[in-house]
Amino acid sequence: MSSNMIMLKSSDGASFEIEEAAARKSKIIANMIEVECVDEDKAIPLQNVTGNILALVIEYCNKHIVDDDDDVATEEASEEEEEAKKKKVDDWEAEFMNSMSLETMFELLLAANYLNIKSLIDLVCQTIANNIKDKTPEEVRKIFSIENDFTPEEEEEIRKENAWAFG
Amino acid sequence: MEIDEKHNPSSPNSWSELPLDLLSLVFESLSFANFQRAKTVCSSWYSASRQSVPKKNQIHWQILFPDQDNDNNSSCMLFNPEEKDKLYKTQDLGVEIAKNVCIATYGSWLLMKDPVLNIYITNLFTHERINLPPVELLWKDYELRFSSEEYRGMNIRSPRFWIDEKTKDYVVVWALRNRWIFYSKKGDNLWNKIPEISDCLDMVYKDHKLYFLNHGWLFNIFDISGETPRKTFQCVVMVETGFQPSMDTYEHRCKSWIFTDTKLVVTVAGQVLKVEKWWIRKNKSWSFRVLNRECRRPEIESLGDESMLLDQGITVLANDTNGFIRNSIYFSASNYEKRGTKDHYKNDFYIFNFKTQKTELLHTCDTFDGSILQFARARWFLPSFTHA
Repeated sequence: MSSNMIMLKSSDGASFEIEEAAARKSKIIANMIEVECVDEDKAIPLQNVTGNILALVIEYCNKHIVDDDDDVATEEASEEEEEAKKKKVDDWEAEFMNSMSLETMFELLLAANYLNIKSLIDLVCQTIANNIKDKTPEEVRKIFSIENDFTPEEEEEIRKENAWAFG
Repeated sequence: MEIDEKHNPSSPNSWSELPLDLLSLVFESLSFANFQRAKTVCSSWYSASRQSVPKKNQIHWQILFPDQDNDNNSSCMLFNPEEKDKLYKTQDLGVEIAKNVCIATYGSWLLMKDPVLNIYITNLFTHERINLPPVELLWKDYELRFSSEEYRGMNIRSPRFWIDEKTKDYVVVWALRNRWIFYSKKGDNLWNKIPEISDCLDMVYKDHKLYFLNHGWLFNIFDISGETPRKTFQCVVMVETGFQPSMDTYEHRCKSWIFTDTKLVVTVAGQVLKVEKWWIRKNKSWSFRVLNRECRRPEIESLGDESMLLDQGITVLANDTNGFIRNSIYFSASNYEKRGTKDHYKNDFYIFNFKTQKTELLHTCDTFDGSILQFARARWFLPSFTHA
């Protein structure tokens, strides 16, 4: 495995060093590496990502690159081992998302989208969905600080489509 | 750059301004009821919901029909096993819902029978209703000895139906006292008899084909997409009776295994399987034998990546997103349970794992607002949701 290091620079000027294999989790960076846009001495500037968010992205990528390596090495792992490993990753992801505020989640999602890291986008979307789950629209608006911009008539009309879901 | 400013971290983030593609991904991670609630949060979320497909994580739901003796109740309760202890109430489905009986389901469509034994199709969520030709037309010619209404009710057997969500094309097929098979399609104003077949044991309708097995071991496939039914296949399929074990290899089973039912199941690939349901006295649970329709040995030992929906007579591909467990059989079974001095009828739902040969009871909701629910008029169905 290559242990080439790549430098990333956040919008607020913080620099991070990351293994190339981990950085490749981002389709954008992977493409940049493919077309040899990456200069070893220069950091890749990421204008849409702040340092604190980039640190989280890198933490995520580092964690998942290790798991991908394992997959290759133990192709014939038993089902139990596979399950145990999956559980370990799930637990780590749960812990990773658990401590995060909704504001951070919002920025992390935009960053994951900008860097095109599919699995991280899915993870954050799923966590957001879990925050919406089993709540009334009123509760959701409050938690996410969203203004209700429907007219009462519009809201009534939309609710009518699936009145049973509000029971 | 304008876009950069918009997502400038120092400005307060706004969940209603999240790009539609991302919101869409969030919506697609929501279960169906949550999806419906979330789209009423604000207009941009509503827009996102319009371009999202609700998660197909739709295993069977249970529908509880109002009690026949209750005149004031015209809604049904819905229970999704994924949302423990939460019941949904449907909109007012009309007072007749308490008087009528659901005899089959297809997605969110119910095949209902009214007290005068006419049948109609209705959608649980949209309330669309399709009246079918009067069954009464048949009594004159086919009702030979029985005349009381009670008997007439028993005359509609093995009802199966299919409906296209978009075009509303439909096919309804059933057996009159298991003797004659009738069907009606969109545009028909009477019931058409399928010639040559009788004595129905089980049938499945799938992809314009009717798969039919009778007590005389005759198996037929009819193509009923044209003007008249066309027989495309016929063969003999041995049917277990439970009295005489038909194969030595499982003779030993018969001492403690009680044969209960034979069902036809059509796989994703169109293969026809014969499924025998056995009750194992010792374990107080069920087991299954799955065979090719040719009854070739050995028995089929794995369903691979498919799940069998026994009540529907089909298999579906199981994957992470639709919530089905691979290599398992999903089925409902009725039983009586003593509660105090009264017998309670329960229609439970089970998942039989082919690999472990273990049967698991799917969680049901027993009480609502502190009162014990009546399951006498409950059914399990596979909800399908039209996206208006």
